[in-house]
Amino acid sequence: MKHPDAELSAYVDGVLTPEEATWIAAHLATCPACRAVVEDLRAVRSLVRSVPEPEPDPGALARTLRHVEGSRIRRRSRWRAVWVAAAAAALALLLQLPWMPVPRSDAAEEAIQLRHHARVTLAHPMAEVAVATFLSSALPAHLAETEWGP
Amino acid sequence: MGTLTRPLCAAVAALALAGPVPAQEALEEFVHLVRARSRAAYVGKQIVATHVDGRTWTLLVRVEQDPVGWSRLEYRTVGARGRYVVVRRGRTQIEYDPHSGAGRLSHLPAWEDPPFADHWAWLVQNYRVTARPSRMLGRPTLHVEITPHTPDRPRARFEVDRKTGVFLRAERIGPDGRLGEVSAFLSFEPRPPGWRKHATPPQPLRLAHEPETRPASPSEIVAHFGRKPPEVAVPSGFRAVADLLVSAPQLTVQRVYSDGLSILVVYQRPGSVPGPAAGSRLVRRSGGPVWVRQVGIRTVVHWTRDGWLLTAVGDLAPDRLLEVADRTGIDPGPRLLDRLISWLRELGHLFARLTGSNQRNS
Repeated sequence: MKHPDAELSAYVDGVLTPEEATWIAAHLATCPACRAVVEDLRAVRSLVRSVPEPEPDPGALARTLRHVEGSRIRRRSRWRAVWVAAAAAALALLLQLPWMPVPRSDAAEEAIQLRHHARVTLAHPMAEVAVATFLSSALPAHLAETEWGP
Repeated sequence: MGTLTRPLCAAVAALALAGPVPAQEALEEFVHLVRARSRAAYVGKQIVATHVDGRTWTLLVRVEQDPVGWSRLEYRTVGARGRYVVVRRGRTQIEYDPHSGAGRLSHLPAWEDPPFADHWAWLVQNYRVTARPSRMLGRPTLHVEITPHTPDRPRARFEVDRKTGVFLRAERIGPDGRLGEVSAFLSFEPRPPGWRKHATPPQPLRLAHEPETRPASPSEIVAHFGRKPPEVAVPSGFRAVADLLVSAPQLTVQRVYSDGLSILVVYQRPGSVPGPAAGSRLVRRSGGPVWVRQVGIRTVVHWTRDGWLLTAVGDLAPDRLLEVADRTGIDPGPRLLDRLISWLRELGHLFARLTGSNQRNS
């Protein structure tokens, strides 16, 4: 006689198909060994069910969220510290380098000074008129920037 | 020996006279011609080569000159497509693009120029002037060489037309020996004075007006700024020619000096942080920092003194302009706060420009 050892636990759990359950029940009616196994399985099951389920800690969620948020804040603080340090270093470099030239966005003022120099030269008796006129006008800058017709 | 010595001395004397030292008459003629030059009327075509902001410009220029009428110079760039016209009548100058009619109107500084005799006296004090007869464009000319007594100044060579005094060819050589500016007539025709008396610029032109530069007395300068600007220790041989006030881009004192050939201009305005243009070289002097830039044969030097920003522009050797800064006095580097404010202001200007260009593009 073949004993359905593998199926007995499933029979206890009630997860067999109706046909399988009917066949197991018929076997148990004629097999005291398998009935004993089934009795043991049911006892263990009752024992497990008798253990109370632990109640979830009501503060756990808040603690977990705080933990997650905290790690994010720590990361942000670290980046902020890096940025502040970089800005401070740049500022320190800007302020402390003794001979650093002042940044200029263009050379407009110096160009005007050179033009004025040429204008003063134009009044000189030894001035070459065509050269001094060229240098005294805004002409070089315009010629450089503008595409005129032939 | 006595019979040999006398002919030898005579030969040396003859060689000396035949050498590069010009006849006194040629020099006197040169003086006369330079005086007459401002009265010359002519038309001609010139080629001009000069150096501005890292570029060498070669231009063809059609010149109409009439002291009664106008000076009109039409520039065309060689090897490019640029064209530009400058018209000057009296001290008023307009420059415009003949295609679009856009341009600007400005007034040349109106100061009481020293008499020619002063210029000549300064010139011969600082330079050796030689002249000899020559020819150019089939016309009789004087070949004139002006060589400085000290090597820190420019040199000049002219071919001077013996009828009009016009410089048919002019060369200016920088203190470093490089040829910085050349102009030469390709054609030249004298005209009677008044031949362009009724000439007028084309209409309509759209001209932006430039603020005027005007002479100012020392008391006027003090009244404007509330204090006296530092005295500038110019190189020996330079004389003060004029003090001017420039109103833009910021109110600035412009002090003009001449040694007879070279012009030195020193700009002074209140401030503590120099604004050297890109490409300036930082030089650390015993007093403080100085920024130097060479633009063609000209040198530009920036420094500070007693709360004034100073900029010297001249066709002198950079070392000589650095000495001007040394002897005038140099403040140590700008204060930290001033430098920060200047830096932030510069960022502001940059931002404004970027914003402006974005608005224009949109």
